[in-house]
Amino acid sequence: MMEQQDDNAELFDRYLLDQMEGEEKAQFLEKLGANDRLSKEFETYQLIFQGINYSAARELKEKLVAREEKLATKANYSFFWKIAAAIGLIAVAAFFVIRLLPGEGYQELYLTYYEPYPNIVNPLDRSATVANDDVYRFYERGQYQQTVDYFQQWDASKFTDTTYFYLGQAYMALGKPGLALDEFKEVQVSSIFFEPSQWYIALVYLQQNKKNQLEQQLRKIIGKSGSYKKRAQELLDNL
Amino acid sequence: MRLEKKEQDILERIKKGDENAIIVVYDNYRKEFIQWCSNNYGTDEDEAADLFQDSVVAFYYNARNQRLNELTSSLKTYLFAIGKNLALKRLNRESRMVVDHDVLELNSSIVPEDLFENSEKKKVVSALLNEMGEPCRSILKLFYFDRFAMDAIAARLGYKNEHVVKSQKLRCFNTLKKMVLERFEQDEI
Repeated sequence: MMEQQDDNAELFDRYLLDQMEGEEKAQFLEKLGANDRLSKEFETYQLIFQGINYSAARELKEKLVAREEKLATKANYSFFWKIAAAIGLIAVAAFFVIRLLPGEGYQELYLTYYEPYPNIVNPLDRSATVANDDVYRFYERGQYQQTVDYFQQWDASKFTDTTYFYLGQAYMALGKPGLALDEFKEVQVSSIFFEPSQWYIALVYLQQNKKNQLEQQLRKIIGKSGSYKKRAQELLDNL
Repeated sequence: MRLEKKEQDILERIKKGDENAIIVVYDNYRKEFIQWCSNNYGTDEDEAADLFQDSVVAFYYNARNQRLNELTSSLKTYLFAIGKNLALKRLNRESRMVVDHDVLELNSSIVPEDLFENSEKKKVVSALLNEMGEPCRSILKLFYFDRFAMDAIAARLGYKNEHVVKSQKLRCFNTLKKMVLERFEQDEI
């Protein structure tokens, strides 16, 4: 009985996998038509075959859906940076216009030098499901209040240098330099975000018109000879 | 027209079981398909992307079935023909467009109907297959959907030889059949 079933299975497989042709196929179909029990057995077999294919097709489609999401994110990311570039150009243009008018404190300089730090937390490879990723997606889209709200739900004892840095960035973008400063100061020297944090601390002082602290901070940056040295020197010269 | 070399290479990669090739197909034609589908069938971007995903799945299935070898058109033409068929069927089903039955029949051979028809029974089988877990899930999918030969499955899944896989596949199928019949409380369906 079991051997018969196994034989049938081989026969069913050959038919379903398009491996039967001509005479053999005709004989098989004839046999099915004449044997009710075999026909019912085949129906079950065929349903399972179709169910397996349905399941595998869904799985493959899910891979493509994930790919689509990745490409869409990439497109949005590119769009975001085009917008950011446009804003940057407007800011530079505004700087030259403002320079012709009587200035108030360092605000015009701040407008020139400030721009949000880009998200470099693995921006293109993030999945859509992990909570940690969502916060950077908010940030990437310029949804700074949501970024802050999201970070604030986290356990502060588990904050990393990256967390402090981007929370500071979000506060800065929301026009809360005091809160941003507290976060930037938490970033440790060993972090890749330490150097940019020092620059943004200078920008906080610039926004707050704190000349002495600003100059001190800029000299500190210049003294380190890092990638912000040139910008810091330029800003110092422009004060 | 013969398939372009680059397209033939993609086809060969798929036949050899290189899953990354399907992503290459997706990336290569996605933008053009979405534009074309929106222009011709008034679909929005999400809907067009969904149709394209189904088209690529059908393409993969046909390629693994050795059906694509018989084609004389380019890969793009082939993909778009599947897409056209799927789009017309969907629009017709949703009564958004009256489509001549003959038009639907045209090229219907390149769209594997069974793959996309989501009957409740198929969903049950799919759920039970996932419930079975490994190695049955992979063996059955590789054999029936990806159409790998037993020796190729043995190599992929680390079995000693094709005979071991063949026995395991039979055991897996019979277990799944038992689960399906128990679920439907029938001797046969």
